[in-house]
Amino acid sequence: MTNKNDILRELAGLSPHLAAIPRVNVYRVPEGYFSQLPVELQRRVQEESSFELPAGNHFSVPEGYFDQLAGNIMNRIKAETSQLSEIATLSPTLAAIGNQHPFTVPAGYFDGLAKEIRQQLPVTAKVVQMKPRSNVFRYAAAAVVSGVIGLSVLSVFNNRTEQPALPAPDNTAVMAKAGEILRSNSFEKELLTVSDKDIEQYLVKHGQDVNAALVASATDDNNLPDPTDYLTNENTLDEFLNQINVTN
Amino acid sequence: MADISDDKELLLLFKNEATREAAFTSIVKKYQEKLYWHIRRMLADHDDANDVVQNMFIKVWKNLENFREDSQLYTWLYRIATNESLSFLEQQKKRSATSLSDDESSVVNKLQADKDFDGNKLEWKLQLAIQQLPEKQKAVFNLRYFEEMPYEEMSRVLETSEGALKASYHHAVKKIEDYILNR
Repeated sequence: MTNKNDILRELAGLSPHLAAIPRVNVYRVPEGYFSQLPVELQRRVQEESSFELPAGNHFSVPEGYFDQLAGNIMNRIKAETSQLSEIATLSPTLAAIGNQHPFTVPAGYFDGLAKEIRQQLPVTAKVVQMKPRSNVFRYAAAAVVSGVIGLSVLSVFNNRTEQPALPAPDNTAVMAKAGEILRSNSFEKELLTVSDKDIEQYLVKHGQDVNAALVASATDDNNLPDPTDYLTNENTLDEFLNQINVTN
Repeated sequence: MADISDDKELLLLFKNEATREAAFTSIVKKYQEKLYWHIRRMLADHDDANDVVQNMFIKVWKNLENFREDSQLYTWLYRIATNESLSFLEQQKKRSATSLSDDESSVVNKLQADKDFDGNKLEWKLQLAIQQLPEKQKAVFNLRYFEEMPYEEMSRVLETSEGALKASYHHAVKKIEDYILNR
């Protein structure tokens, strides 16, 4: 009784409005529910019990199973100890030492290992839509090819710079010069003889992207970023372009 | 078997194979209403409450033999009933989260579907307010407000400190009052 009064006093202190609401049970149960519940439960308990394995053995085993069981077990034991018997034959000393390694790990190492590895895993790769700039390598490659051809043209022109009125370049001569450069692998050497201004003028005249060509000329194939780097990190290309500093 | 009201005696009888079923029936009869109402107030719907009360008593049947008498049978039964109700609500929440249809299974909807429901009556409004509470807070409020359970006992049922239960009850009362006055 004291408990009930205490609860009412506590409630009145917390919320007089709530304390004023009569505590009636608004819910109803079907008629006879509580008189039927123990019966229903008893039925269910019996039902559940009927699923339990009855006493006695209702399983069968293959014929002769128990006759061979001891032999089979012994064979398993022998197979598992064969490594030990082998080393005992080969080296009784080593067999005596045993195959337990002497190493230890710091206490709790394996408990924290999985967590530690998880922390070191890279952040889940973000799918990055490639920006148009990512095509720079394609343009650069195209520019390099046209650069080789162009260089041959320039090389031919250079030999005639003093002549005021140039006739249209002889395609055969141009291609022969380009072929010679390629064969002798003297591209770098020939390139040094052409000024940057001439290259730029040539590229502009032929609709090439000068910046792309500069990237291509400043790029060492061996130092190109790995494709997986710029597929997973959108900053890779920016960093690479800053690194080779094409604007200067 | 004559009605035996002493829990210790019922437990002894339950341990005896010959009197097990009769002892179990006596335990069901003794506690069924209290536990049913506790569950019903949590779930609102009779069919759900009936499922949970039956399942909880089946669990009692399976585990009573291992029941350690360092706590009262009554406390242990309330603990199972509360945990079963909370699990049921949790499962229901998961089901409704994956369902594309309207949440017809919510306790509030089931409460409003009750044939006796009358939203203008204060006692039904109180039930609606209770259903807005977080599940465990709902259990705390019901055990204190309807079952008049002392905090000490409730602490054993819900395995929560008395201080935390008092704070939880205080918050529950304030939320319910706010709901009733402002809706």
